[in-house]
Amino acid sequence: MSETTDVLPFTQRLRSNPRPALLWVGVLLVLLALEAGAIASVAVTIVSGLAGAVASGAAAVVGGPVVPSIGGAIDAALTSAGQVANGLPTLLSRDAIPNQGYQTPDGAWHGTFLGLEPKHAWLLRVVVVYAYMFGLLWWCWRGYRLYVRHYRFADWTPRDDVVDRLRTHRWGQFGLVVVLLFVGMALFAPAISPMTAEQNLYNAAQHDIEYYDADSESVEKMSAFDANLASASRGAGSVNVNPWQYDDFGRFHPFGTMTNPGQDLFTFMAYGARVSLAIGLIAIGVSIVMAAGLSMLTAYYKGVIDLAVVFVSDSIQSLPGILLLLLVSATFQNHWFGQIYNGGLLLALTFGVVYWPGLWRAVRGPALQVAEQEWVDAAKSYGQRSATTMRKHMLPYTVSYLLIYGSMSLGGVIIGVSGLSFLGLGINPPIPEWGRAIATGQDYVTTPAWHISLLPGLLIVIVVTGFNALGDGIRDAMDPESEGEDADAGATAAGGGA
Amino acid sequence: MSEELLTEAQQTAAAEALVEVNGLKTYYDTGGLLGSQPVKAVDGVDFSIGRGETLGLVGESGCGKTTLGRTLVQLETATDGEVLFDGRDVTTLSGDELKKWRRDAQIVFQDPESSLNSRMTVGEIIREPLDVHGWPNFSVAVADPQGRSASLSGDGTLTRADEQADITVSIGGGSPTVDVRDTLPMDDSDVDASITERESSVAVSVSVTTAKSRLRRARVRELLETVGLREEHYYRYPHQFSGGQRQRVGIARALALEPEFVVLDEPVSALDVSVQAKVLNLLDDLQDRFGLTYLFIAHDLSVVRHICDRVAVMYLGHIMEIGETEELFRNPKNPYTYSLLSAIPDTDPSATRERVTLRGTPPSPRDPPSGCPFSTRCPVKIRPAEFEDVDEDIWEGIELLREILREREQRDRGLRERAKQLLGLETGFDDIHDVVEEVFTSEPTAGENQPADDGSEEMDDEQRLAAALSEVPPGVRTHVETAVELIEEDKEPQAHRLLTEEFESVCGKEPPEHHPVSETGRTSYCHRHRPEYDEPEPVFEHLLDQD
Repeated sequence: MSETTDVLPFTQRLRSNPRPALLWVGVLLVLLALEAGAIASVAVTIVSGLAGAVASGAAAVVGGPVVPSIGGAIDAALTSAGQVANGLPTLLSRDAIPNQGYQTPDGAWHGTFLGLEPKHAWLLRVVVVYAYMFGLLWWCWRGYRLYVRHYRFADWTPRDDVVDRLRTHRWGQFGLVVVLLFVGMALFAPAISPMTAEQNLYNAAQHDIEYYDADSESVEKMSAFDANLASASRGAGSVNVNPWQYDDFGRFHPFGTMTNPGQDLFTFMAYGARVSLAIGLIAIGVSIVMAAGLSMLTAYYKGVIDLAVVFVSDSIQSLPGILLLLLVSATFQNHWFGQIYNGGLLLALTFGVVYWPGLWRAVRGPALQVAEQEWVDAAKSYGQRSATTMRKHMLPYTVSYLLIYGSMSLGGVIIGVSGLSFLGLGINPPIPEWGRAIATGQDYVTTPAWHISLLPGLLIVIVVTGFNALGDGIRDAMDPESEGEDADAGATAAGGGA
Repeated sequence: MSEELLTEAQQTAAAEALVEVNGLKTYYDTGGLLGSQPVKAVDGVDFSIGRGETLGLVGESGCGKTTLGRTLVQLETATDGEVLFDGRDVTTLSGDELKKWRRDAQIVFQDPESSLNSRMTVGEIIREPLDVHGWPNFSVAVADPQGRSASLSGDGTLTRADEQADITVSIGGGSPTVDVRDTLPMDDSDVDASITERESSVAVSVSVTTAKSRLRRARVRELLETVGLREEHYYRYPHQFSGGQRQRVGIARALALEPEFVVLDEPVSALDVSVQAKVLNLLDDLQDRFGLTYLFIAHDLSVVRHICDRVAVMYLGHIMEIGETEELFRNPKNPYTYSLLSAIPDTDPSATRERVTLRGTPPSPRDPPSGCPFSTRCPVKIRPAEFEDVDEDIWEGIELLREILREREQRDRGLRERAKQLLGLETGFDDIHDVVEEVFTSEPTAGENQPADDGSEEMDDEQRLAAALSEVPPGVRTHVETAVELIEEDKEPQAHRLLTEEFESVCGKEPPEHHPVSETGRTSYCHRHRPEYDEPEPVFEHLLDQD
């Protein structure tokens, strides 16, 4: 038999042929070193966030004065760590490719990267960011191929088929690219936005900008807050900064500006992507997990469990969702749990609870159907455990429904969060959040400041489409019988693009 | 294994029962809101299957044969009764014991389309039982000429030397010798054994150098070849195979854990006729090779005749007749078997064989008839003595009328009808006269029928009834007329009870016994085998002669 030769464990196979692996790891380290500063500061942020949550949680539980002293010490340590992290060189930062400066009357730009126009400097940075991200991902993919070629025990596993099917699935790949673009936007928000979050969103009054004043013919300083206010889009022709325009202070706005206090819309959207996508994905993730788990249980055991879940889900669905969200938000307003991620986690979990009954209803039928298949009986006949039977023999047949329905619910969650912001609950200003951009722009839809609502709306449509397409791709990739997918994929892609 | 050993095993098989079923009942409680009766899919069944034997189980669809098979492998929970497997009642097993026992009893499903998970490769499918049971769980036997007590460390579990072990360690002068069972996909050299000898005991340490996952893969490849597939099919998906090949995969999966007993649930009925024979031959070969015991469920009688040693004929949850295949096919004793066998098409077109046509459909297993389950359709049902001489057609009419009433009583009444009944509104038959006329008018020919119909429209109900019953003897007639009156008064249950009291014989009153009907131990579940009644066969002949 062919396999007598290659039964060595992974470590031994690695040791006998280390060259490709070492090369790969070396390149990976170089790639990561380029972003060492960013990685370190992200790590510090996560740790300090956790420490903060734990400290406030402990404070809530203990209620004593012991905590602040320890918390203070930790805080100090973290702050210094943060400073060190920020000091590390980072390729993808505005320091490396600055795009803010001023233009003197001779047409030259000062303070921008290589004296480029801010528009071009910004574009260059965006391109570098995405090039880096896709490069890194491509390198990881290469790593997987390398493993398959040199180190994997089997010549072939069923997963290879899954990968192959995904590789020919254009519509799914389109979805993957779209999703990656948005995830990149959220991850690299500080590097990708034309302005800093501090100047734009949180603390504009404390920051100054330099601009060339034509009247005094000199470079003047001005608080960013005033500059923002002066370049806000208010719907009338003269006080508008539309997409792809400069404002009076030589700042470039790829998506235009928002209404009072005049933030840059692209910066708002990039930082908002972090909040909105996180809430949306956590909420959908929670509801998918709940729906999947419960559909397996109800389909496998039927009877009383099924009845109980029907009852619970019907009860949840009969509650007005917005009312439940209001209740939860109000109840947890001053609780430490409500503070995690600016209240985002609480919102996401609540949305998850509100959304799972719909998803569960959608997959209950398919789950019951697959539970009747004889292979489920067969698994029982040789004593397979129930949990494994559900996971191996039933779940793969419902995942496709979950992916599709889940991706379609994503937009609803993002809009729902904005509805809450509208009522003063949920994510509050100045934390950016996509829904709020739509809400604030609603009054200007018919005016020259149409972009405030339209662009965020379009982004939501695109991200939902992207997740939907990716879901389609994964579904088809998982199904060994969808061999002839290519033909359909073209049609679906055309339909999606239209 | 040598030839002699096998044949010897087969000779003792007849005497030794592997599976013994006593009073087995499996009811499905459908649990409707209105407190419905359970479906009595298997309603008291006794039989046994000898080691190495093939028992066929035949019957119409819906008679409970699949449920019986599934109960034997504990896919359904028995409501009552016991299933003795090697003398041990398996209906009471649970948890680890049940899981361990499942290795010994496997099932091959009817539909290979549905029995193989289409998201898994064939290799994964066949391998799954091995993974579940942590195969191979080496059983180690220590052969020590001095007969000292042995203890074992390392891989495997100790078993007695007289049982067939996966690994046998023989002690005798110096280093121990290892012998691995032939059916395992590894060599003697893959096992390291060392011993520490003491006065009264031996400590044996065994370690298997081959990885379990590799052994399992090798085992799957071996199984693929065993069932007539090729090694490289390991990586294919079920949808890439034909029906016959898929069924082979199902068989390989059932054999993976080396079971003793396999339930074959209509294994070829979903297959193309040309493939059926191949799969049947494969099953036959496997039985010879591994000494398997089969329960072969089928509705194709010729297949059963081909493959089975003994046959059990099932009807409505009961075994009507069970015995040696050839004997039963040549000379059926039970009226149901007789009717069933007469339905086999004859390949000889010139043969003029009389066919017994059963009237109606089997009753609902939710409400089986009291007495003999076949009593509502039996062509040779015993008549009460006082009606022995009533004309055949008229008697048929009475039976039919009773059957109609019975079915009406058991039908699922809709909410509207229930509400009507509660409010005391009309729910009865408004067409009882038509029914009686239909039932008692003996097969009018087309020519006679037309004028009769025209005439009947002018007659009123009373006249029509009188006309229909004109040929019925007075003893019968009075009862029928009373029943019709009761029905007209909306007292259907009373009418039914009256007819039952007057016309029912032992068949509908008490359940028959399993009468031995031949020297080979064949039994038949019929009242006619009691000495006071005629045997079914001559009655059938008489009946067929009349037609």
